Amino acid sequence: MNAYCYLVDGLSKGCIYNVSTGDMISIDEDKLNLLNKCESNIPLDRITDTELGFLDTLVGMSVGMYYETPMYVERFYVGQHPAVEMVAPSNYAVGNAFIELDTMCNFDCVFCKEGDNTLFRKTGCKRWARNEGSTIRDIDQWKDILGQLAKLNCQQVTFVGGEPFLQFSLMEKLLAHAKAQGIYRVLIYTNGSLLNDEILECIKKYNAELNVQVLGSNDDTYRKITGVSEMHSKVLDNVSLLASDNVRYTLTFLVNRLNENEIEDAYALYSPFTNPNRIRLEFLYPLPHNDFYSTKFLGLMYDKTSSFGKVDVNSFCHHAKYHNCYGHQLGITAEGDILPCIMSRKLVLGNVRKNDIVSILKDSDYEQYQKLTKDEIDKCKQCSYRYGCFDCRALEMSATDYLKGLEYCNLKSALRSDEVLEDLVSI
Amino acid sequence: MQGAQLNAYRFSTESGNQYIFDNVSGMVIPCPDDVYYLITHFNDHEKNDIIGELKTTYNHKDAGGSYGYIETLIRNGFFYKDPSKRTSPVINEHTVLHTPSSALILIATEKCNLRCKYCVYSDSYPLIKSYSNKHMTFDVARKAIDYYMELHKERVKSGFKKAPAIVFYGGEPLMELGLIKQVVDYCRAKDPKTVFYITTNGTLIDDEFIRLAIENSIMVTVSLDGNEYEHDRKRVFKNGKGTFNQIIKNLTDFQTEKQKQGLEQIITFNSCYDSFTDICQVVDFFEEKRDMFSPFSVFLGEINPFYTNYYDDLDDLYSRGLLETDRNSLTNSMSKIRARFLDDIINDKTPSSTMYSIFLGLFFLKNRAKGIQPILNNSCIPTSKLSVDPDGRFYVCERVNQQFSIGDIDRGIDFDKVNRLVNEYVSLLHENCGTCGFSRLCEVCFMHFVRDNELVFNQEFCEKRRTTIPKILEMVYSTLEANPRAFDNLLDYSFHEAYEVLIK
Repeated sequence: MNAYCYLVDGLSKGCIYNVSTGDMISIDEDKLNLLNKCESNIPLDRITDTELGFLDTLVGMSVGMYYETPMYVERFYVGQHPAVEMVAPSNYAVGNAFIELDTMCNFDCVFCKEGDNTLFRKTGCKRWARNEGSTIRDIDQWKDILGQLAKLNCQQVTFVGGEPFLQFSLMEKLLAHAKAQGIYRVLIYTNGSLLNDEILECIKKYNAELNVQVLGSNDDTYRKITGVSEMHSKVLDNVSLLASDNVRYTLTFLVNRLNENEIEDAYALYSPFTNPNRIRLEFLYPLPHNDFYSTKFLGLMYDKTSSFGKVDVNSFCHHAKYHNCYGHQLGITAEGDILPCIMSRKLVLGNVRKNDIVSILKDSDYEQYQKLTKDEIDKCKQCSYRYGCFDCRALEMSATDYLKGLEYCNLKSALRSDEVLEDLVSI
Repeated sequence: MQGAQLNAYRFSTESGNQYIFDNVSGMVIPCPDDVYYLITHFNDHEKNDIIGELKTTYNHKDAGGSYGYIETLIRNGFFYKDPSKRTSPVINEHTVLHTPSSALILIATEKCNLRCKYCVYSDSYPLIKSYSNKHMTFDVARKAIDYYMELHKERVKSGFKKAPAIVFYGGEPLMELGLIKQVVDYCRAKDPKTVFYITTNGTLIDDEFIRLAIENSIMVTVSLDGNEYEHDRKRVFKNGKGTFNQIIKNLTDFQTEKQKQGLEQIITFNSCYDSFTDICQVVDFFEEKRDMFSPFSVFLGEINPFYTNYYDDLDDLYSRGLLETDRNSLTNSMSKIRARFLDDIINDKTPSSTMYSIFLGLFFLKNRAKGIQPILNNSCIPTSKLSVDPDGRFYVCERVNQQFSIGDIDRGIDFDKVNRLVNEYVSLLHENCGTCGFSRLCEVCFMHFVRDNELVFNQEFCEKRRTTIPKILEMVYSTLEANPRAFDNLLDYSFHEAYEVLIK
């Protein structure tokens, strides 16, 4: 196989990852065995017409080439070889820090009761339980945290809530401080209802990007969900302002039982001024048991193939070594808890009020979480697609009550040899 | 692509297969004639012309596919770079805190009780100053440690994972055992996790040091060149008498005590060879002593052939019949041991660790870093290792410790001096290595350019690497053709420990 193709074994299937095109190619056990032989430079004494046809197909797809004599084709990778990294560990570095300034929100969503810690969504807002008086309000403490993050080569801060713009004056000061410390990238998760001229000016000044969560296509649905009137109109107006002001933003439709029939309408409303590539669906999930998830979209929630991204050499090398989220990010709650992900509330590594961030990383299970690749997840480790799909550990852990559990995957049966993925390029 | 030049090296394996080493990305890809034609003509020929040529001259069936393959690579930055564009790395407070390593090297003394023939302080290296009676006072050591510990603390805040590391170096550091004990106590009090390393000639290892080394898990590296003949012809006391028997006696005491206490404390050996060395005998020596030394690792290194008359002296000794081996001994024995090593790894047998240490370079080439190069290529970033001489001056490394001070214990790191040194070094690389097709595989560092108080490009070293690196490429890829997993068995535990010492 060519240098940009990786062959990954599964229990009874294999997958070729072409990091030059981003394709994942599913192959059955016999073909996997044949390719493993080729990759080991074992001469093919007897080869059937079918096998030859398969190899011809791969050559036609620019996945491999024939050679007259045994060749060694090494794989592309970037960075230090894992063998060397084991003894010369790279320094701690936090690529992206999620900062939760507050868990308060101006919405009172039916599926997000204040103080209820049950999680059935991926990263976004959540009114987590809080201890009275323990929210960090001291600007100097937050500045100190940002200073520590900057030393750890932090490239991006992401503000989440609750609704982070409820703490706009605090956020504004922190944006200035982050920039002064050399952290230039900012992302803000918001419900989109609180934008005003002052906030927009600030967003533009710091070149911040927004992730706006959309909950419906009309005021009535918004009221049913959030308990607040006329919020659809407000959010739609605000998003159109973002568009006209050339602010970078992404829209997330949070699909649930109350808005499951409005997705197309909402898309029609927002798409005239929003790049379709920047509109995506998120869901409320069925576990732990709740009445808010959309049965209509249940199939998509379990459809792992929809999370398969184009695999490039950087993402492949990263996924083979690190968890897709825990590997390079940290969450800091409003009360100062440090987490490998802002939604993984059970994995508290320490608290910034008691220790500095580096000591917390050093004295906790941080590196174990960082390296929680799919090779460690019980139901994924024998799946050949494990380096190509996205893993939301917070969601899976909440559904299974187990660090290495897996609920939302329709490929559990991929371990059987009689299934072939249709969404992949299959041979 | 304006101004970009091919920056790659094409080589063949024993079977005649051809590959190309891309000096920009660090990758090696198969490179038969048609692929080489494509790569070399990509920038100054039209696509259709290239495809036409591939079809006619090279009888290529899928010329379009091959073109797309190489185009993807070149568009992603492979093969070509503009040699006129030079990087100008700047070492500042931020860089110093984000180094990949962190160690303080104390030149405890410039005195030595031996007069080894190849010592850089000996007459064999006329450009380097001679032995002195200078030794470090605790006051100097304390100030250096205070400075380093603060620097290390800041590094830790910036994500550095390892404990502070103190290295005792000399001259012969055990001539200052009192200082070493004071330093160990002082560092332990400052940070109990501090790790200690010492490089010693082994002749002064006594009960007191053994106690200290065991209590503080000091990583001891002993210079031992092999069997008695091999060692004693090079490493001698001031009176010319060989040091082998004394060292073996001391090591027996040290190892026996560790074994008595059930300790798995590793010992490492620096073993130097020259062209008269029978390397097979050296390997056999260490393997025969395995029970006594274990756990241990050996680092074999060639005696520096540059700016020295050491090798002339050897020729003289040989002509007077004073050497048992001849000047082809190394070449002959090296081919034998190489064949043994390669045969082992091709057949999935794990070679002895001593044998492996000779060929560590092959393992590192196979598992080299790829992608963006570090700012100074394979040279360490000044200040990551901070070497301090008895006068309290800082240097980039224990081997560049007489010229190019980069600060001192009172005023700290002098960034102007650091950057002057770095600029001079980078200029030399730019002028001399800019078009080299495998410069990222070259281990050149400050040490190789130091001459008579200035940095000078080392032509001899360069020529040697230009001969050796292609041979290593050929060897590694020929081996991998025979067994793609040949190097996978070499990742054993003792290697990791040893490697840690190597990268201190």
